[in-house]
Amino acid sequence: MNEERREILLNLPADQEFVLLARMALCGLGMIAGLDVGLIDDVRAATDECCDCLMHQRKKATRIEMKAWLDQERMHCCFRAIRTDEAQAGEPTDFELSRCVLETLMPDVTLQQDACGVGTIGFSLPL
Amino acid sequence: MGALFEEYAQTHAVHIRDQLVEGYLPLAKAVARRFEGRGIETEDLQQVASMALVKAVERFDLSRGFRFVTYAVPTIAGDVRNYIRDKNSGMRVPRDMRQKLYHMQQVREQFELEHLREPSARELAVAMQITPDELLMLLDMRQQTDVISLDAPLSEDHAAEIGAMLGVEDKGFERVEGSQWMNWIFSKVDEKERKLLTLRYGERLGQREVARQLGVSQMQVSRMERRVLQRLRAIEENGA
Repeated sequence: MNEERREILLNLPADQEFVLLARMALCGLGMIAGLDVGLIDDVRAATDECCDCLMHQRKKATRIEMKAWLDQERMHCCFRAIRTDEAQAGEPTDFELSRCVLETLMPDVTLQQDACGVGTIGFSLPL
Repeated sequence: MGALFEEYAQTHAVHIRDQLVEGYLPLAKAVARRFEGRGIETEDLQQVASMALVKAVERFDLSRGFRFVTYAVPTIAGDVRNYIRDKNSGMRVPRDMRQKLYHMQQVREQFELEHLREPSARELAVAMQITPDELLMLLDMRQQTDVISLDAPLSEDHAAEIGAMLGVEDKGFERVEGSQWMNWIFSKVDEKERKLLTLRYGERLGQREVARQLGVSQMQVSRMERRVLQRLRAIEENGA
């Protein structure tokens, strides 16, 4: 844990069964931040949605990197798909649906797309 | 797609329906994918979602002025959810785990009643006399046993409302409109709740806009609204 900016980093295989680790880590950070149970449920659902979205793009992700940190006022989280040149083409998820789901769950959501599909998803919420 | 829906409404031609279904198949798959990891084969989920999509296309009423997606997502998600529930009805959750989940729910409700807010995860762990790790496991277990769905309507500004977690418009709030009611209500709520009620029922803003103004998520607005309503109802029923 970075003392200056309380931060965690997780690098996971882009595989459904590893999403549990991202979820637990992020919910743990939420617990440290003092989030209420309802918000922790939202963080959990948002984590699932981010991972699902990043794992179902035109170019498949091989790994997913999750970075989350706390500052004085907010909890921030960023998911990034890591792709290799030989990554197989995947079936893209519905971008608008993912965006709507995330924007319902979290107050501040950003999705970044490139030619390979959605590559980065970030959100933050007030503490 | 709008023209196709119009044509289908007039003719009910199967080939037009099939075109519409084909066009929206990615949507059905996307909804199905949100239910993966619950012990059901992906192909089965997609099959159920596709059948629900056909049903949604057949029943969609263009004249009501909603987007098809707004109507279809909750319909599809509802069918998938029911399917999972039926398939999983024979699955056993260990008894001690069921008891802990039940206990967690009771403690959570009791806390809300006493403190007029949701407990933090730490507070809940303390109240249940379990470690934070155990609580996180329990919360995750609850998510696996529940079927979180997308069965609530999408709002008109295209914001998805995820049914099981999101509130719905409560007709009881129509009573809030009377000014004496407002005065009575404002005497029973805190500052943040007052702002919420003012925006929602004074200015008649949607949950999404209220969330933006309060700097929280739509989901939080929904929960806060539901909690306030329940509390006011309880106060009213008790004659306080």
